[in-house]
Amino acid sequence: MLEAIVAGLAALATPQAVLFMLVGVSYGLVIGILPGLGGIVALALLLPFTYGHELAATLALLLGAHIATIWGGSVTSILFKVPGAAKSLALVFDGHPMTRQGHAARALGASATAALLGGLMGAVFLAFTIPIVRPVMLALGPSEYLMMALWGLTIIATFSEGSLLKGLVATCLGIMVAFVGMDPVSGTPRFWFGNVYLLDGISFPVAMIGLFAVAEMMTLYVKGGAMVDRVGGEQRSTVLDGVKDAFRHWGLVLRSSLLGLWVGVLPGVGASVGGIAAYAQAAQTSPTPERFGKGAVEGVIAPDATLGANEGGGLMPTLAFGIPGGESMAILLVAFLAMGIVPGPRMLTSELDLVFSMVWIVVIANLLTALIGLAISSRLARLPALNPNVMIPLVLSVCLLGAFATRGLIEDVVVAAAFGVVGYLMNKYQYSRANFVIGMVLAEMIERNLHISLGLYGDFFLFTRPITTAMLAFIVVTTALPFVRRYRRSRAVARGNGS
Amino acid sequence: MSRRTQENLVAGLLVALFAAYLFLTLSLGPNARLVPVPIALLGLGFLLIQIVSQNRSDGREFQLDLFSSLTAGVASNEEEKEQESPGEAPAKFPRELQALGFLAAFIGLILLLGPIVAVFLFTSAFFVVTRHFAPLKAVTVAALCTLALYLLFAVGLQLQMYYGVLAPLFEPR
Repeated sequence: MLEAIVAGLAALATPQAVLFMLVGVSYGLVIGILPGLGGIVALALLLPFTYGHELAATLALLLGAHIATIWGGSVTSILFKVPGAAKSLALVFDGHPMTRQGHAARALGASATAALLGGLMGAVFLAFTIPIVRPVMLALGPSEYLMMALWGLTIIATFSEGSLLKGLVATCLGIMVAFVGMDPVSGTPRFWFGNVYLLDGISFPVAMIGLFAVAEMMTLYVKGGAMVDRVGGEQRSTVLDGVKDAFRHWGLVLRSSLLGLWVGVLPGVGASVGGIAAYAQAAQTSPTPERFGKGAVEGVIAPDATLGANEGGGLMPTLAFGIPGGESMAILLVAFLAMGIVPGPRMLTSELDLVFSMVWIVVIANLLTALIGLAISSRLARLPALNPNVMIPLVLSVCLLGAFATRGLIEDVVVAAAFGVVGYLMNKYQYSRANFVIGMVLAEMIERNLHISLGLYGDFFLFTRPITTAMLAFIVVTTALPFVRRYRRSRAVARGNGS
Repeated sequence: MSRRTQENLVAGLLVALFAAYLFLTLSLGPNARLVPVPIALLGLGFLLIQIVSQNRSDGREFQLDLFSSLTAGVASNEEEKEQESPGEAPAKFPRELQALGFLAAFIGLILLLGPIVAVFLFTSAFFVVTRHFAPLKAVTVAALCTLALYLLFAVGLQLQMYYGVLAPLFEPR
């Protein structure tokens, strides 16, 4: 394993990898800091640029950008009260009051340091869990992988934002879209309507660009007005005060990071839940909970440490089982597949150096983000307002050119636009786009493992393999539990009203 | 149109989509339809329950939103305000049509003239129509952005550009 650790770092020592890491982090910070654009948009726009480069360098570009956008999202929450993504919502509660009180620089300093400490903890966790997870993975067969994918789908729908039923419908829609084109198992063309373009299937990057980036631009236009609610004023503290705050509350950073790791490892429980849960535990464990919501620095430190650690935790199920923890991990998984990186046991055996490259990227990207972040925090605190009328045409141009660049097919531009409209409607009517993406990503895994299981273990494999049966029972219970709880609660309410 | 009607319309469209999908799977072989058939049936089932649940007399649809419950309603209250505001729907609809129009126009330009020319025309037109820049400044900014994108995609990534269906008209004879 030591060889893999060294080889992983050595792969990042090439000029291309260094350059891509710097570009990725800088790009991620810029996109993250622009209100209205989040990490998903950043990753979707990067997908067309992931072909034909060194593997480690491309990973540095993607992961570097992804990690930097997380802190970028915190900046918009703290300064503008506009969360870059749902996961940064918790930062609004205390981060923005700090800005209003003239402590923006301190809040940004605390945020960057907490994210760095959490991120480092996530990387260490990823490195240390590899020897533990490896034997478990090698013991699992295709039927267990099938069950894991199904569990991923159902748990994702259960924990997704909005209605559970709509979440499940969105998952089914994603799987349906993934089945357009040639069936890899039977070699049968499906849902292609005699159109040769559809035989190759819907390109993942193109669909992602449409669903997230184009849809966000439409939302921005429909929303109209200024993108930021800017509050200025004299700064009463410095970035260094924030750094000191993060180290002073080391216990909170540790607890929040552990929470982030746990949330990251659980497939489907996205960072949105993690950020809010971290905020809640910070308020509950604080000796002065009444300060929360009024500008308590702990309310900034806890969510950021959780979000930082979440990435290391989230990479584990993504790499080991091919089950993404959330929408950003799903897009990363799409990129991994496009680069020829197939998640599964091989990742933790023959391609271990690649996994350690990712661990190093998480470490270096977190360090770079924190360094750049701390350096620019005092300037960010005085950032002027932004207008969507400049952003929309420029981002839309990059989106559609990016869609064209993925395969050089003009049809992809039309498909990206169509998915943009679908993404806008899904967002408006609360059909989770994250579930759609994860359904799309897991569809192939489900179909392939089902066919292999049927071939290897027969038609009744669900009941002849004990681990598979237990996993199936677990899926049924975890999916039905929210319905049962809801039914019981409504009956209790009805009984209360009747008496 | 009320929010509930809109929701029903969307759910109805999705039911039609799943039904059509199910119909198409029937023409496939047993291996090829092994997963699509149950997925279409599940989708249909979930949608039917959703339709029933969103039209219940108490007006409450099945909502299991862990995120909202954790935020103690902070996020959902804002969403509800957005959804329930009676004056907002008429103001939003024209903006949605405009957004759709912009997107359709951009795609049309790309198909007719290719992405690079389309980017220049679209960005300058957008700046002028939204009155963000004066015409001359709009054209200058759009030209600079187009140049940057051309350098990135055509020169940097060496992407073979598409010149649009009108390209033959401009080719030298």
